[in-house]
Amino acid sequence: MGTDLSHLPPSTPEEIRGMTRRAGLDLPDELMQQFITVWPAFEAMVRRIPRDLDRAAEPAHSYRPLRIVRS
Amino acid sequence: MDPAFLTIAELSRLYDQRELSPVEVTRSLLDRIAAHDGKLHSFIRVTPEVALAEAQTAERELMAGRRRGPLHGVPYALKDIVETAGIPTTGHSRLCQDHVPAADAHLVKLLKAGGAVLMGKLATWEFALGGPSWDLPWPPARNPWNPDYLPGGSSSGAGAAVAAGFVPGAIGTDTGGSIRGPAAVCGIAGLKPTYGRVSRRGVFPNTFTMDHCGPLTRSAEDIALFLQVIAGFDAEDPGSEDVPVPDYRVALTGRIEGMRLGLIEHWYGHRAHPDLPPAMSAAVEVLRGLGAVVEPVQLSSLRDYTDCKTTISIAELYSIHEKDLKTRPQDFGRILRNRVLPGALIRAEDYVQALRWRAVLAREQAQALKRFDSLLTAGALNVADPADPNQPDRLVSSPSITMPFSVGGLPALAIPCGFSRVEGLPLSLQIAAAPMAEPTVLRIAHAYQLVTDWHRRHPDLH
Repeated sequence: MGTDLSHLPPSTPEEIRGMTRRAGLDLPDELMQQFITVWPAFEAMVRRIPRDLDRAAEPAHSYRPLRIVRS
Repeated sequence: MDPAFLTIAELSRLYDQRELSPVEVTRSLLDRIAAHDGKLHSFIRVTPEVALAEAQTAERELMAGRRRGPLHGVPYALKDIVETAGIPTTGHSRLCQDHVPAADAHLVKLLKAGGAVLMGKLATWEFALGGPSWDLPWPPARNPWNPDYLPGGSSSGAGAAVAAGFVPGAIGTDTGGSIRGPAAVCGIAGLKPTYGRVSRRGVFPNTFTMDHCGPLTRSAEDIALFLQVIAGFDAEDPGSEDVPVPDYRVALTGRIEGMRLGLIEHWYGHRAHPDLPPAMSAAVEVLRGLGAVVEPVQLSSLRDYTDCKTTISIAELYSIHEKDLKTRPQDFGRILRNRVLPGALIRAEDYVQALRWRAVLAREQAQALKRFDSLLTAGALNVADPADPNQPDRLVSSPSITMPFSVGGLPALAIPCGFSRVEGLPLSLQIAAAPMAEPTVLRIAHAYQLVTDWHRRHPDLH
């Protein structure tokens, strides 16, 4: 298995409809059809993100309490 | 004297010499906008009353010998995602068509305090992301070099208005290249400053962790003058950095002997417009001729940077627009809706993994900048796109050459370096440096522009 999720099969239109519904979106059919067309490119992109970073690798944006206090 | 293509530096000098006045310049540019913007659509809203009132004030003060700063009496315009008290700020979107802010964005307050003259609000891709779109209340802006082409985006009106000689400078925003892209394809200068250098308060968000405000002008010198007024710490912007603002003009020495520049050729060497690599090689030779040492450097692929940036962006974008997408999705333009909706299906772990990857990629750039004073690459992979509503959406399918420095949060400046032979459209060089090293970027660009004239070429609007 690779270090990303590119090996997974693309989601089917029915799976995309299901995921969209679970996200709380109730799109008119025309808009849902558009979304089903565009999602595969985004899905492929997200699946290329590496999943094998060092355990201690911090996100680029960590919580900085002074920023909140200051503003 | 026609002020259409005078730089900010030239305008200021002529004001000092009393050879031109702010009111005269403002009237002339308003006339030019009225005559030509009907085919370019760079402005969503021109504000002649505001402009003339501010120009009259500036003129009185300058005549009295009271100069507020480098933009005093200088006309400019704002991308219409920057809030202006009492003046509609639409985001070029049906969703905000009637939005009239109560307060100015922080940078607008700075520009007012500096005596700059607001000419109006500029076209943008919807909410600085969705475009070019033909299904919005206003048409997409067109490229002044050829109105059959687009001016890039998302600061589309800013690129078009500066290139057309409507204003000598404009404020744009840049999350993945929205200042540098339009600058590149319109043949002007556009700076994405360091993340945190210019306040974002009062500017519609796109991606909180990567949003930048910055200037588009016709020269690197003018970028320095503009940045001088808008840079600085803002305690009410959580991303703002409390770092002193240098005098950017001091950097404009024209001398770059011995500077070490890393050329990232593999980002544009194989997939660019055929005229771009030769134009870049010629630009590199100019810099070498000025005494810089240019060596190749290899970073991660554009695909990696684009995947990382876009995953972070669409997750943040969806959080901003979720309510409207659930209640009035049909009010979004098709392109914006289809670029933001995928954020609904981004899992928490995808977003966090992308944020962790961002740190890795940013560190890679930091390592390279230990060996080099600056990194060079192209400002855009292609010339401007044709104004064709049926063009496919390339956000995900085509990697972006501006996104790497968005991921790094580095200052990056696009300046013109040639024209394509067939289309006659601008080509661009991009110069980046370490965080807060805007003086380095400006020094290199200014030195280049002292010995080249690409930035002095202008489109003929007639």
